[in-house]
Amino acid sequence: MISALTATGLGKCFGRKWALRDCTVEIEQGRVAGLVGPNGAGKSTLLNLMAGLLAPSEGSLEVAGNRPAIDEEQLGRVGFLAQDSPVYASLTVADHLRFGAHMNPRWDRAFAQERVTAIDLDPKQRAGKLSGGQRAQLALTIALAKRPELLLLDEPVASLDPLARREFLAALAAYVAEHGISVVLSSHLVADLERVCDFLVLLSAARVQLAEDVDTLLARHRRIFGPRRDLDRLPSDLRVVWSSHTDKQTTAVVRTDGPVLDPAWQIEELTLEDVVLAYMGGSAEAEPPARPKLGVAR
Amino acid sequence: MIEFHLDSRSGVSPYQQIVQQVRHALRLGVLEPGDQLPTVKDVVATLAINPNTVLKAYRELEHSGLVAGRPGVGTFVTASLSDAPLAAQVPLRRELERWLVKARSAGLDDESIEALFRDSFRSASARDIA
Amino acid sequence: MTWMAWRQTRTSAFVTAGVLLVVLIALLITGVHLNNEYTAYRHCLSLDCGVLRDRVAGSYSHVKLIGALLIGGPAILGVFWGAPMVSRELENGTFRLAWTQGVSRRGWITTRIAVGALETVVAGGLLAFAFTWWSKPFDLTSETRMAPAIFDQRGFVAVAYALFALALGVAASATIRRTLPAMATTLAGFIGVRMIVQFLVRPHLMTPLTKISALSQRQPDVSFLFRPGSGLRLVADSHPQLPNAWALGAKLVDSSGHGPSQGFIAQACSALLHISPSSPSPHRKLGPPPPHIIAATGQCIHNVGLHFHEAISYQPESRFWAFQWLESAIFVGLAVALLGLAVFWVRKRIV
Repeated sequence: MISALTATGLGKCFGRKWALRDCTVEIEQGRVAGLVGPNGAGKSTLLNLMAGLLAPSEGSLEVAGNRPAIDEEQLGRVGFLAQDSPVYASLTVADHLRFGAHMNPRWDRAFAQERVTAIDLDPKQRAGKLSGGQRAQLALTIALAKRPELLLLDEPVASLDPLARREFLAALAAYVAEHGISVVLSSHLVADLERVCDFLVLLSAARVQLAEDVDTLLARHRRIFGPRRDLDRLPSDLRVVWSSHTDKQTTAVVRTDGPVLDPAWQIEELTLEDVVLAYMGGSAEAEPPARPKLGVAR
Repeated sequence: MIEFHLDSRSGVSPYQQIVQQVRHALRLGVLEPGDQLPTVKDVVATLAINPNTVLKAYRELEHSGLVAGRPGVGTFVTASLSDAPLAAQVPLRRELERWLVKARSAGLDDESIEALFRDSFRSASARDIA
Repeated sequence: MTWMAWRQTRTSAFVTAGVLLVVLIALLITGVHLNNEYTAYRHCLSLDCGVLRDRVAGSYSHVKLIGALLIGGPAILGVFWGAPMVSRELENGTFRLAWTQGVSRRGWITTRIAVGALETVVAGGLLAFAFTWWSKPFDLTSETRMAPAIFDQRGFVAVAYALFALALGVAASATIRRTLPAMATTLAGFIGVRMIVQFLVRPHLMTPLTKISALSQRQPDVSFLFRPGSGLRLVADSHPQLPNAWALGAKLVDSSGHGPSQGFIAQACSALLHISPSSPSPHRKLGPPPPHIIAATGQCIHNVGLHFHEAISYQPESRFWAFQWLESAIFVGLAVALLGLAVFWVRKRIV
């Protein structure tokens, strides 16, 4: 079984600043993995490493079964849609398709034509005059028509309006449904990824805070609240991710493998966004960094 | 053929929403045995969701014997949910309406009634689990 | 990838081709006429052939300016084709698109360089060939192909300059990563290397020949230089001229190759030295020198000429093609080294 991504102790520093550190993550093939975290958390760095545009400073990295950009075959296996969907402003839409055809041995000409027609792009239009949404769709078309096994998307919807965002993600999801490729896409907004992802990697402060199947993740996290009490005396199978106390009440987000049985607590299910915010809030608190992050950063 | 929709603020996971919508349609008779469910690709393209979510929902429906997948063709409804429960609903609804009148005369407003209902529902389900 | 490399240079290639076509047509039309004039001179049987010769030499001085394209063209090419090649992709972010397709970075940069180099060789070669043909009547009547500004406009050396400029542009583009600074570096570097080669290297590409001639009083072969404290010095002609050769410099030598000593000069030019301390006249700027100075100068030159000759070192016209090959080899060699650097940098050092 080839993984879409296998990173072991991966790190990248620019000068003295670590943009990504101790990144150990494995994503199975066929997953749509969301890479979330605040701006500057290392999302772009990880994606650029996977695309072979950056070389790791430490650790090892394999995507789609090989080291990134090791040869032209590997380059053909991995599609990359960079942040802000760069295209050649002076080239037309048709030129971009020709570019893709000349640059990729497995280029699917019919698919590319069909998609350009479907998204209503004028082949004679210069790419520099396209709207943000059209540009993203054009870049996605190029990335898909090269028939990748793994598709990497760096903040693909950040600059799009809600409608274009929806159309973009729908096109992506439809392609995944049909071709079963692996996808890793990043966003600083969980809401963008919530529906489309089945795996989540949470990055914060250059480190992986969480990397888990979305269903498992939702099943294992609960919000509990009740009269104010000391959280240290919780059962050992409950781990506190985030907590807040008022003079009367205690609220916490906990991670647990089983149900919360203590009747003193009211229990709520969490959305993906709630879990992510809990982890990000937790890391922002003045807790010592040595505290293991609940052992989820496998 | 039915079309799914998702309420992202409901707190119910997308796959459960799909399951519920199919069950609802079956219960109301909108879907009958032999009807086809939308293909995974169609659902994904309209809702912009993960294909595995749809697959998971269909698998669960298949598991409960409501639908069956025919490879290469699609997923079809094989059972119905519409008869017996519908008959049982009538007396239950009457009872609930009587209870609502009682609650109002006891001075509860709509919000309190809802909170009370939700709380009782949750503690009852918790007892069932335990 | 070849298609993309062509597509990205297409617009500028078309513009270049357009300009080139106009230039070639102009050269062809005027060149045919020029050749007719030259043929008339060659077959001249009358006494005033010199008039015909001068007519050839003096014609089309404005068309001659096309030769400036061979001097300035390579710089323009390096600045506008070479310098943006990598940095523009970096600045626009399109490298993220280009370098994640199914072509390796090495393939990408080598193809882009190859296409650029091919376009350079074709355009530069056509222009150089056409202009060399067009200039032939001048070279055969009035101009010396070895002379510094003429040498660059003849033969194929300009193609080597252009390849070098392109390579310098690409290397600057890859290492500096920003287009404007890369352009400035390319321009400065190109001018610098061209000057160094022209003034410091080219004179020594082959050992210069020497022409020994007697000092003559009619020609101002020698000038005099007074230095406070060190007395009188004799300086040979600083801009010697030789027909059909590139004269590099002149000096005074005796039969064993030594220059005149201070003592000898003091003795040979005693009359001149006698005048000088009391008179500021050697520094005078206007009017002919007074007769007694002319006489003293003539005396000095005569005395020096008894033992010393003027030796002019030069590169003869016959070495023209050898020099074209040697200088082209230098620039192509530099170009290859710079392109190697650019390829390495794009593969290993960028982002």
